Amino acid sequence: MGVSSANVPIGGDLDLTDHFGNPVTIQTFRGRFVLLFFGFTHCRAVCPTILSTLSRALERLGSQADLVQPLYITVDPERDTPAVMKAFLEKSFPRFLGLSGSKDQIARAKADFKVFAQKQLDDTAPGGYVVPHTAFSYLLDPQGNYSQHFTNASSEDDIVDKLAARAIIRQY
Amino acid sequence: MDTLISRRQLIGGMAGTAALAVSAADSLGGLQGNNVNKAPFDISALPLLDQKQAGHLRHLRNISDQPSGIWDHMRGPFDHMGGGIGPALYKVVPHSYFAMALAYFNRLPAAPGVFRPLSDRLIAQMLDKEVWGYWRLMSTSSKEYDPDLKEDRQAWSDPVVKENIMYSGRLAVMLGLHSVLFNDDKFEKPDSVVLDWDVPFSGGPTQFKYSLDSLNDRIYWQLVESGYLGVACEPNCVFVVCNQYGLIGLRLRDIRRGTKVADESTASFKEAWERKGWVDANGHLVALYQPNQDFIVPLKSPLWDFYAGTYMSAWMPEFVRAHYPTWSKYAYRSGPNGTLSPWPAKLIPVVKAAVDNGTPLRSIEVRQVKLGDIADIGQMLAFVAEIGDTKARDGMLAHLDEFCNPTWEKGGLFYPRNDQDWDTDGNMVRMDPWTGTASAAHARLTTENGLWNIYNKPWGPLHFAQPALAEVDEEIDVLRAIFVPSRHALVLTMRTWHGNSMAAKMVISNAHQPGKRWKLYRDGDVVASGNDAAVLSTSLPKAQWDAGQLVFVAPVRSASTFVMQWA
Repeated sequence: MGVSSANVPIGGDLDLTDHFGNPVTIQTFRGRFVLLFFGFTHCRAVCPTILSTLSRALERLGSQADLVQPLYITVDPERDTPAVMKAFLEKSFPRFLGLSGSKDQIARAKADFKVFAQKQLDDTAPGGYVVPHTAFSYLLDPQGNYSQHFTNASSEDDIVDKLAARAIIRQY
Repeated sequence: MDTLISRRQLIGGMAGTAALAVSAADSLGGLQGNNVNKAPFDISALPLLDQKQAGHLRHLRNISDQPSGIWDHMRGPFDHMGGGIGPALYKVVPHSYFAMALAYFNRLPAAPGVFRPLSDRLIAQMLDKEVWGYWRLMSTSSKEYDPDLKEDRQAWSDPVVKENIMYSGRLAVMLGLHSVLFNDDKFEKPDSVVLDWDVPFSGGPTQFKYSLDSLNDRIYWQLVESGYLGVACEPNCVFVVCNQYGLIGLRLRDIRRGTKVADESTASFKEAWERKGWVDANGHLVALYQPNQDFIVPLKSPLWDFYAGTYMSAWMPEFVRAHYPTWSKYAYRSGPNGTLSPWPAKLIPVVKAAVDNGTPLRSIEVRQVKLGDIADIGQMLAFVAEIGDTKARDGMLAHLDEFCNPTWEKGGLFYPRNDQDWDTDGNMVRMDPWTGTASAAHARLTTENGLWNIYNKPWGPLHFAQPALAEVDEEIDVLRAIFVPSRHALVLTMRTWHGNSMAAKMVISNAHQPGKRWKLYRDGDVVASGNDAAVLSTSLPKAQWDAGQLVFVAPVRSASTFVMQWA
């Protein structure tokens, strides 16, 4: 990517609820890499595309994918309750664990990862609005620290290569 | 104006030099003589600065070489959004730098010895607290520009950590240009960029330390967090134009690191604004966006189109060229002797109506209009020069020459500040230092696509391995400096700015060409020769190898051409 986080802290503790209703923090996933994406379940284009790309990339990693916890954090906590996220993810993207929370909790998570999301009225959208958002996927190391990010322009091959190239995945 | 005169005299006294203004004729220095093209081969087609171009470059060298706290020809008018002298300086200093960089890259590529000291001085000025110290006051925000603000924000002094892209973006471009144009990593080292808040109040004394990387990372992640709509300048004020500096800074960092962050960022910026809608129904660009209210502020002046378009032309040239006919349709006003100047933005609807009705434009009374502090002509000049509309550029430069008091001082050419809007004939005479010092220089010193060239075709290792003028005395105006690979020759034309004779020192880098002999010609005559180990003959006061570089001392007065050729 060419951008480091050494100069700008990216990431944080997280204080959210998973789609089974369990409270989670970044420590919950300690020991595994985390592949983290922000979105909302009513998203019609960006989320399905990227969740599909990430799912296929993880599939191609084979057993190494077990060392990676994919997370999907909502930017639309009003609609994306844990139950809604569970239904959405288990149907189409079963590798992902959905995380939701209160408006404040989501706002803190967004701020920690420098994520933009802005509610925008749209008569053609379900519920009458959409939430355009940052389409980055963040890779965190097993200690929960930011490692790198992928943009929506990153290809599946690129993601697979970058994940596989991390020897630590194999060694861990 | 009286203040300016007394300051000029003061500088002359402080620096121990004659600070008397010299006329254009006095400072010609023999440029129109026959020597400029005397060489062992035909050099007449090689780029050569003309008198005015050389004058602008000399003025940039002059303003950058003032004692700390002296900002002659750079101050004011005061920016109502910022207060103090900083908001004027953070425009004049970097835009002077851009003009310098464009001249170096596009016209005098073998003269790092002229431009590197200038780069160092302008960057030092940009890092001066007087340029950025306004931020602490501004950082508290205001209901004026953020109507939902409940109370003033806590002030902070660090001018680049957050927001303030009008300063941080321009600084990033300056540091990036320095790195790219001089192949120099000094600003890439950790903590190499020091912003010294040396006051024992307001959280000081302290220092804010950055590098090319950390500064660009700050800008990048703010862009991300904004959804690529842009980083704020003043609080809650996202100007499209100032984010161009941030984007260009990312590209310059990419050039150094071989990364593609700017490709991603420019594409995302374009996509975000296309979604938001950045061209209005009349074809004009969004200028100012207030994110806290998700509100696009209608600034009805083509100034903003030209201003942003200048820098967008580096990464989106087709877009700006496609919109130029709309932006310029009612923008220019013809004057006497082929001059061209902007219609006041407030009168453009009147101009449009007159055109539509067939009413003569001369019937429109311009003197009723109070102009803004910054002369729109500066933004227009830089833009038309970049996209190659030479007719518009030359018409507006002619306007400056006709109505804006072209002034020569210590060999430098500029258009001095004038706070009066119109002369008695209705010609615009207002002038500000940004326009009169920097934008006019930009327009004369760049070439068509000058900025695009740097952004898209940066120099590589081959360029930096070629012979070049690595050092030269400050009193020397270099009018031509280019390496000609097909002739294996470095061609330099130079003179003294004051027209007096002097023994000028010049240092040639990358002169060591193993196994090759060389000759140095002065106005067509051989004045020194040698090989890769020794100087074998010379009629100059000095000619010697020194640590792999060739050092010459040669008498220079009026324009002389030196050609160093290897065989």
